Order: sequence, then C-alpha cells, then structure tokens
Amino acid sequence: MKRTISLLVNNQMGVLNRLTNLFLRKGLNIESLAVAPVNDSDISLMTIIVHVAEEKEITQIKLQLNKQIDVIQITDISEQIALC
Amino acid sequence: MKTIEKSKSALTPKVLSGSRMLVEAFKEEGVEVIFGYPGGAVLNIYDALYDSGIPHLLTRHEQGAIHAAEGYARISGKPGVVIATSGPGATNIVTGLANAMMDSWPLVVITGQVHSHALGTDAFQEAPILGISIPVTKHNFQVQDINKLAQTIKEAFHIATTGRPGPVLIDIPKDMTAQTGVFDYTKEINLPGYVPKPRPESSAIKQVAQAIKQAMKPVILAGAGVLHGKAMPELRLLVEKTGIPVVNTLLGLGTFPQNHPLFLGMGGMHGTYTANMALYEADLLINIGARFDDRLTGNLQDFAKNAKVAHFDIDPAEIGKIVPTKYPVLGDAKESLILLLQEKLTSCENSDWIKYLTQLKEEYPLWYVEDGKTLKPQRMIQIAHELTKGEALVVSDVGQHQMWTAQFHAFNKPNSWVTSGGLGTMGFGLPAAIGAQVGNPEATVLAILGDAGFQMTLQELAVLKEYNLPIKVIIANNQAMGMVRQWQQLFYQERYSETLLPNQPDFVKLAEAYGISGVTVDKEEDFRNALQQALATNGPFLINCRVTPTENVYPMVPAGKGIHQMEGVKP
Repeated sequence: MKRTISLLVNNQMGVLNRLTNLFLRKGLNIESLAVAPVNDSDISLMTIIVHVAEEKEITQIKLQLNKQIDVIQITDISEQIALC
Repeated sequence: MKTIEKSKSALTPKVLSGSRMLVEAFKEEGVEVIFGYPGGAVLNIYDALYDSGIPHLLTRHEQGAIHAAEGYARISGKPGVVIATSGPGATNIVTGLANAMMDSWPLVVITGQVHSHALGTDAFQEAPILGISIPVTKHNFQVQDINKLAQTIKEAFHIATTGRPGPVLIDIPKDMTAQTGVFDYTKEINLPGYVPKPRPESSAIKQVAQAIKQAMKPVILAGAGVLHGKAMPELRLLVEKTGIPVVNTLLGLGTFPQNHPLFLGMGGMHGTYTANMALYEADLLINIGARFDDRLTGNLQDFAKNAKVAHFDIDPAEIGKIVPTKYPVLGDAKESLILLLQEKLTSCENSDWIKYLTQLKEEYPLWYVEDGKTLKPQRMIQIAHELTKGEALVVSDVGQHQMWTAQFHAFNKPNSWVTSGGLGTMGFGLPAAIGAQVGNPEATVLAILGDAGFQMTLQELAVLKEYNLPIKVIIANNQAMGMVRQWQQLFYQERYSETLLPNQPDFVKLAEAYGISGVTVDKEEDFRNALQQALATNGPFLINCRVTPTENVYPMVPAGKGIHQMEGVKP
C-alpha cells in the first residue's frame, strides 16, 4: 500500500540523511520525496511517499521518525490525499 | 579519581577557545573522568585537558576507551565521556557506539575532525564520522560555529542521559578547537522535537490493574528499563502485592533478587525452562522495560501465545515493535509502577499457576555434569560467586562464559552485572571492567572472559597495571570460540570451521609482560586457591582457567524454535 507522510523538521544539514537512513534500515524504498522550508524559517516541510507491505511497517517507521530529535511533527496524510 | 569542583566563573558568558569551552562544559556537567586516546585532530583538546584537573584514562585502543566508558556509565549511572581523534580514531569507536545504542547506555563521544576547510577533500585522517555514526547514535552533531559549541555540548549531555539513554557524538573540526568564541552555559535547552519523558496515562495503568485482576497466569518480564528508571523497589513491591512471578532478561539480571521464591530465572535461548514455560503459558505478560529481543522470544509464533501483553516502556517505538500489545504504558518505569501500585491490586499467591511454576523450578534446575577430570566452567562461576559472597561486580564478555555467568552467578542486587547484550560484542569485557572499576573504585571487579574475546582487546591489560585497577581477570579458556563451536557441533555436523584456537599464547606470561601476576589452573581446588590469592592481591590478577573444552551451554532453544521447545532441560 502507498502511504504519504508529512513531516516538520529542522532545516539543517544532515536531517535528510538521518531520516532516509531509517527507511534504508527497514528496507523500504522511498518513492517520492519533497522538501522545502516553511516561510523562510528554520523549519522545513518534508513529504515522503513510500510503499509498504503491511500496516505494521508504516506504524514502526513513523515511530522511528518521530524519535529523531530533528523531527518536530509527523502526520500521516495518506487519507487526505485519497480524498483530494 | 579526584573530584572536580564546578567552576563558578563558567556561569557567566566569557570568551574562550573551543578546547577550553569543552573543558569548562565538562566541569559544568560534573564529568569525573574521560576515556580517550589522543591524535592530531584533538591536539588542542588534549592540550586544554593537560592542566584542567579532569582525570583522563588512556586506553590502548579507541575501542577500549568507548567500552570502558560504557562500563563506567552502566555502574556509575552517569554518562561516559570519550575522546577520539579523527579518521581511524573515530571509526574505531563505531562498535562501541552500536553497542551503547543497542543496550541504551548514555555516552557523550567527542571526535576530532579535520579542518573545516578540508572537510570532504579526503584529507589526512579524514573519515565522515557524522554520516557513519547516524544509525548508531541517538543523535550526533558537527560543530560549524564556535559560538554554538557550548550549547551543542549541553544538548548532547541532555539527550544522552534523558528518556531512553543512548550515545551522542559531537564531531569537532580542528579549527573549532582553536578558534575563540562566546561560552555561555546558562541558556535553556530548546529541542521542540524531543520529548524524553512521556507521562504514563492513568487510564492505561487502570487497564493493567484490571488485567491483573482477571489474569489466572500472569508473569512479569523485567528488563534493563527497570535499572534505568531505578524502579527496583517498586518492582519488588508490585511482586509482593500481586504474587506475580518474575522473569529477567539478560540485561535485567539484578533488578529482582534471585533468591526470592517468585524469581523464575532468566528467559530466552539459554534461560531456565521454568522462565520460558511461564512466558509460553502465561495469560498476562507484563513487560517492564524489555524490548522483546529475539534471543529472548525465540520463534514469535510461539511466544506468549495465549497472553495479553502489557508493555511498560519509555520509548514509544518499542511498544508493539515485536509483539502485539494490548496494554501499552508509555513512560518511565518508576513513575509508571508507582501509579500502578496506587491501584487496587489482587494477588495470585497460592494459585495453581504459582504451584505449577514452583514445581517446574524444582524439577528443572539449571544443571551440568561433573566428569571428575576437568574444571567445569559452570563450577568455576559458582566458585567465583561463593568466594566473593555474591558481592562482586561481575563483567563478562560475549559467548558461552557469558551465558554460564548469567545462569550460575546469582545476581541478588542491581548494578552488579555488566555485559554486552543486544550487540553481543566480543572484546567488550576487559575494557568494560576497567570502566566499571573506575565507576565503583571500592568494588571487587571480576572480569569473566572467554579466551577468544579476551584476545580481541587484551592490550587494555596495560591500563590495569598503569592505573593499578585491582580487576581479577578470569579467563574461561576452552581454546575455542565456544558458542560458535557449539552451534557447529549441534547444527553443522561438527564441522569446526575456524572456531578452534589450539595455538594460544601463554596468557600468564602475557600478563606478566604487562606487569600483572597470574596463574593457569585446570582443577577446581587450584582455581579456588588462585581466586583466593587473586582476591588477596592488592592489584590486578589474571587466572587462566583451562575449562572443559567440549562443554556446551544448556538448556537451549534451538534457532527457529519456540521457547517451550528447549533442548537439554535435564542431564
């Protein structure tokens, strides 16, 4: 199943590497990725689309992402996308 | 080790070099000792340390420094501080970072780095340690602005020691250690993305209390989270109030007194049959601060099959990671248990379940068979326990001797056991014993090692001599990588591929070369005498024990089997 996760992260060197590392460890391929700063602030909005086989995988990756010090907020927007 | 007075002047902002900032910050954090190894990129830092008054313990390899820091952190409850130089210095600590990450030990690791302008140019002794260490640290930093160094160090200590502890690395380019900037250690920590200590929800606690009321076959699994949360008294109270029996994980040994009638032993691959049957048959499994490691659970299909699972953990990503969890309790173990103890709790004392488990315990004790010829490694552990009255601080390496120590040394008190659990790092034991002794200078420290693991970090014997650390090194020498050999015997038709070590150096002569006394023994009485001599020696001592070379660790859950399918449960 395709899932879309939206993250607010610190706009800093290395943050992308930290987060993609978690996907690598779980053996997940990122299908799409977009990053942009929010209103020229030191926070960026990151949108990641990923395919997972089981719900459990997405739950775990969201928890792992949320543990990162540089992740301020994480939202699963898969449902919202589907409604659009 | 000397105690360091907090420098009062550090509280007001002042202009300092990066290296002096590091020293001031360490004093602010109350750092008692640094484990490290100098090199080009950290020359300025070592120059600042030279007359700083902060004791530094020089290991003989960076891996030794970081494992020592882990042993220190484990025993002192304070973060272990490590300094290594750039390039190979930094890459040499990667194993230690992974080990601390797995077993949740707080470390603050400083690595030197090449000059900022040379970053990414394949400069001399350059290694991209920031990228390398991302997956094996709780967090890491590279300092790029001297005026942010103080706050970075403050954040590093905060992150390492709060929530689920872990290693934090700060990579400092050499020019940053020389440049001057404003040192201000008074600023508040502002990390909006970091919530280290979630508060346990009272509704979740009430549900656990309700589940205890309904359970016929409850069991508690107590892990290292109980140690981290210092929740040993609360665990004891919970057991006394509810009569629920306790299984320990390898790292949780010591969280509950082993001489207590409701203690069932360690669970998992080489745990007791009773502990594993309790986990297998339970209808309520209360996990407190354990992470359901595969060496504990065995085949997940069979693990706690009929149990509703309650899981107390400070790390939300651990809950439900391995085992579906009906009653998640997110929070610190102590806080959560205090709340649980306020609920009305029922007792399962005198139930059929307890009678059944007590009977199993009597029927299936841990065992080994004396052959009247060789020194059994299990006997060796029992004697060590006996002669130290179980009061020693025991550090192990990884392998068969580690399992025998976990099985045959009774850990009745917390903080008397240091081992490498999750990562299973051979070579951990000797340096970790150094750190443990530094963390508790009064303790009798036994470093129980295997002959293979000992040879991975034996250069640290020099540290025992140099700092006169009275560690008693006990080598369970079976002239093999025993655990791997055991698997080859049982599952690879005795094809001993590269696991036998018949050509060993003379470990006693080796110790003597480092200025340490030692003896080789191969009989029970000789071991007894040697250990008595060692304990009477005011300094380090090495005992090379020629133990039964073919001895295996039993009982055992074979790979892929459920924990109820143990082999070798009886002689």
